[in-house]
Amino acid sequence: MTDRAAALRRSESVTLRSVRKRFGSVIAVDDISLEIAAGEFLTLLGASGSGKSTTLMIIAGFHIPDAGEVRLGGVDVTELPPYRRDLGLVYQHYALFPHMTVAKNVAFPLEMRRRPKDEIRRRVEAALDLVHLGGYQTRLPSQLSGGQQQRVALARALVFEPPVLLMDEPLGALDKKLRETMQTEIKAIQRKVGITTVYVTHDQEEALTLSDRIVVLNGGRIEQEGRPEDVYERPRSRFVADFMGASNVLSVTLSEAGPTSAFARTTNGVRIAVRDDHAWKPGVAVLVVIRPERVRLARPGAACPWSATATIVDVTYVGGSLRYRLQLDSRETLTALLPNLGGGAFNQGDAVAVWWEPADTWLIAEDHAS
Amino acid sequence: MRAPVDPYALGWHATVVFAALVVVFLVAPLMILVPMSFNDSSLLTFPPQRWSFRWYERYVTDRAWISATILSVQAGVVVAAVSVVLGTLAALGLTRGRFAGRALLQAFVLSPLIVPVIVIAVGLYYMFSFFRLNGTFMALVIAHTVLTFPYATVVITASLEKFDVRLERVAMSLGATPFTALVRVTLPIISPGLIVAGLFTFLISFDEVVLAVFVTGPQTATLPRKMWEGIRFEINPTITAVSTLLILYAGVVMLTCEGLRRKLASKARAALDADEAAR
Repeated sequence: MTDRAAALRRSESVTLRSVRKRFGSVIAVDDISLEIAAGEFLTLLGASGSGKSTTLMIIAGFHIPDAGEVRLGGVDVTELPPYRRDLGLVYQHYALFPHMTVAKNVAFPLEMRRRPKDEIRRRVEAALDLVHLGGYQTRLPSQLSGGQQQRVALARALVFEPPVLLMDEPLGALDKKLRETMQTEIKAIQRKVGITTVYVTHDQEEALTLSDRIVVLNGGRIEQEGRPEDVYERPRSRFVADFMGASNVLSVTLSEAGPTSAFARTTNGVRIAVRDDHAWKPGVAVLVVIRPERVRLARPGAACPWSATATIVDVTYVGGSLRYRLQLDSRETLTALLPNLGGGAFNQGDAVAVWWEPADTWLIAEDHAS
Repeated sequence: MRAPVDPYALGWHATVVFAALVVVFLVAPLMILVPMSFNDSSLLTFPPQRWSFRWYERYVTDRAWISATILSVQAGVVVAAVSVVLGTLAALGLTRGRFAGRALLQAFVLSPLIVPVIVIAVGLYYMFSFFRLNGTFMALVIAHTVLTFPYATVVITASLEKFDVRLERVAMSLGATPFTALVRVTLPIISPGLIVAGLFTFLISFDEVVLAVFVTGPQTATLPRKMWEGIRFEINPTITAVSTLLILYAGVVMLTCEGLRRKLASKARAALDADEAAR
């Protein structure tokens, strides 16, 4: 493979401008605009029906949007058929050609471009080496494991050095362990080749691990976009907070502003510390997001910066950590995820002091609650 | 003390006896034909008194029988080729197309399966009279294709419905035009279906008699027409020999189809095993 600088020159930006697509009465994509920089790894994250796959298929050229435009490297390709777009595409179910050997599969895009035979052989070999499948040329797809098939699909999508790589839930059919190995591998290959990548998944952890930037889709619209840590730690809505992994979301009213932190009260009057954000004034109703791994527990009466009293409703053993469900007051429950340090664990029914660093919380306006 | 009768065993035995009777009923005519073909007598008698191959000899040495056979093979090959091409196009349109009246069009394409063959024969006879085609090879091919086209469409539609359309999409994303994707990816993968459709339509054309009687003339008599005439006008035992050969041929075609089906099934199983291994 060529070096990264050359690859970056080859990779291109992708632009969507006010793209809409409806199927019958269902609006699949509702006014989506995106700028994907050359060499960026962008993930479209959403549940099924969020419009993520439709958006990808619009970029690939299999759907023509009802409105809006698609640009590749600044060129309008909205109406260009898929086979003229020069994009690499990897599907969930590998979609290898079952009647062709591994080498024939990988050679396919080069044959379509009428490259000379010896060049094809050389580049197929290089692409298979890239995905650690050198020597598998003569196997049929049915003789490969799921992980190997997906790597062949990746080699086939990269061998013609397309400026953009599209991946539609490529790891969805693999088990958890293999998925994690493949994530690392995909990321490494993407870094090495420097190709612009648009990745579709419903798995928030996968999105967080792989992406330079995440776009959370909901009902065909962009709910939030940003770097993984933005989306995870500073969700703009309750939907994003929930979707990015089990979160505690409490409805509270801001009550007092302190020197380094602010306090709020839950519906039943329990006083909790929240981030001191000057944008919010006392008396305003907001949602507080606090990640389970940031919740801390102490014995009642232990010295803490501040604390609220809670009762442990339930303890779940998760191996490396322990998950506690806490009753804060008669309406609000909280989840805490604590490292399993062995000994000193709390039991069901214990009264505990619960606290957290105010800076670990995040506030969402009530009108973004839905 | 006598053991009580097991009602389930009784039911099972009754089922076996009944099934055996059905098989005998179906196979008996064939079982009578085969020995009759080796009968030395020039009358159609059963059981044979003396054995000989004379009717087989008569068949292979009689110019009229051989030319009828060659004509039937030629017509069958052309009909099969035309049916597979048209059937593939129709199946593609019917499985992939999203247009108003698709169900109606599908029913129309399949209608020759339901319309009595004699009705089609009469209709074609008048149409071919108008175009002065009666008695020509082309009339025979057209008439048989009307009959076989829906079969080909059904078989190929079934294989296309199992085909994963995403393979075509991937091929296109890799730079193949829709036509190239069809030729390089879709057709090779559904080729067992195409072969089965070809064999099947050939067989239908090869033993079709009603249309042949209507639209062929003395110059274009097919093998079934010749057999029909053989028993209608001259009671010639040669037809028993021809019939035996046809049974043999049909058996070979069936075994070939079954072999293809098994090959496909084992391929599918190998793919599944690989997936299992990956898990």
